[in-house]
Amino acid sequence: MFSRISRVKSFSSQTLSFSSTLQIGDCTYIDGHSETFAVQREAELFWGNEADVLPYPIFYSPSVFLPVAEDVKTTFINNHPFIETGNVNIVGISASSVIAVGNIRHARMRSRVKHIRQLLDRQVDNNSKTVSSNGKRE
Amino acid sequence: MEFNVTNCGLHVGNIEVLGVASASLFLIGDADTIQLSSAFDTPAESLIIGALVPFTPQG
Repeated sequence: MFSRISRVKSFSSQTLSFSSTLQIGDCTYIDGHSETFAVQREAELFWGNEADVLPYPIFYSPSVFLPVAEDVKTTFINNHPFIETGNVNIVGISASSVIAVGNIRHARMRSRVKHIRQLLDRQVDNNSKTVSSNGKRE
Repeated sequence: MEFNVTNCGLHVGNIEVLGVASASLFLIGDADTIQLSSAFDTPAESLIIGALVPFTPQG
């Protein structure tokens, strides 16, 4: 079976960060994994030694990937040998993402994101001008 | 099961994407298998109001 060829006129990107990959050409395996722990704090405060071990089940529960063993007989007939695109512009590529131009065999991507917001106690701040009355949360 | 595919021409114009993030895959090409898994968690108890304490302080 003849595989198709990807033809891209031009590619441009502004940022490629946090273990992201721009893959040009064929590839057998892609295994991407990203764990994000996002904390938003009302106070500007960060202890540098925080969160080395994350005690949340979202990070240690196993990802279930079933083995690809379906009994399917597939045939592909490619009448046109190219997959053509014009100009590709991707502003941001982040967090173990993969941009692949070309044929791949197996791709496996995992993402785990945990968001936490930490707000200051409203009752403590009762005299401040930004506080809701009687310390109740809205 | 038998699965037969005939691919005719595939021509795409310009592609503009703002962001590809969180272990995403942007593919221009053919693939045999793709497996994706994603979990996003922001439960009610993740809104913490009170004294700011560090997460899992080390040492």
